[in-house]
Amino acid sequence: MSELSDNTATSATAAEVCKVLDALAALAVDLTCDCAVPPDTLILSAQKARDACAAIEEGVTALRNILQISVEAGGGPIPRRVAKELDIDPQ
Amino acid sequence: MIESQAAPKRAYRVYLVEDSSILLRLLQEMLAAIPGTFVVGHSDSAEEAIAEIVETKPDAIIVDLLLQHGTGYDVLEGVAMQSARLPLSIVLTNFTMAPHPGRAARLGAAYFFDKSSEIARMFRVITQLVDDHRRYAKPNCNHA
Repeated sequence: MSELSDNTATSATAAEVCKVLDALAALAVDLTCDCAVPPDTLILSAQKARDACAAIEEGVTALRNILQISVEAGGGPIPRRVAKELDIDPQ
Repeated sequence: MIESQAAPKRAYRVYLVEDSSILLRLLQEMLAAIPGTFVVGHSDSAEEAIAEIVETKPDAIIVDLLLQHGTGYDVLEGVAMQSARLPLSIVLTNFTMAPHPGRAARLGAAYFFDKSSEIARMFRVITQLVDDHRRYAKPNCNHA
């Protein structure tokens, strides 16, 4: 199954990218709203808001992991501005 | 992990193979909202999924291709080789480019959906499958 998983940095990056995509897919479903609902209607339950936050957090964690994989693969240090934005050690 | 509760009689029984905990929760919620559907178990590992699918004999499986351990292809192949009663296989993945749809179909997947844009469509298909199952299932259908 080499096209889906092996031990390269690219494969590890792809796995993290999939986590970001999974989180975005979940977020899209959580935030789905029928077009017929009037624009001023409040529709998001507290649970859905929490689920959406969890999806965002999972996506951000995967993005941090991608940067870490890049550093470990010899891609150089993380730019300070990006490190600050994602609250990680620039190394 | 196999669901400890027994499925209601004539329920449409589904097994989930998904390594994203967030998407797994979402799929479970969406399936629970379809009357007559029961999730018999779930796994993020190909090996565990194959064993549990063979054991629980679901009507349908929803399979992600990239898993924590192994791949969805391993699951489709393993189930085809080991299961006497083949479930309807639905692939739900981010890997939508060739060769994946064709390869999944060759391994018996009846449906192939893009996670990023086709989850709602997949649930419309499952709702239809559940309706058909309810209409045509034998009253004394027993999965044991």
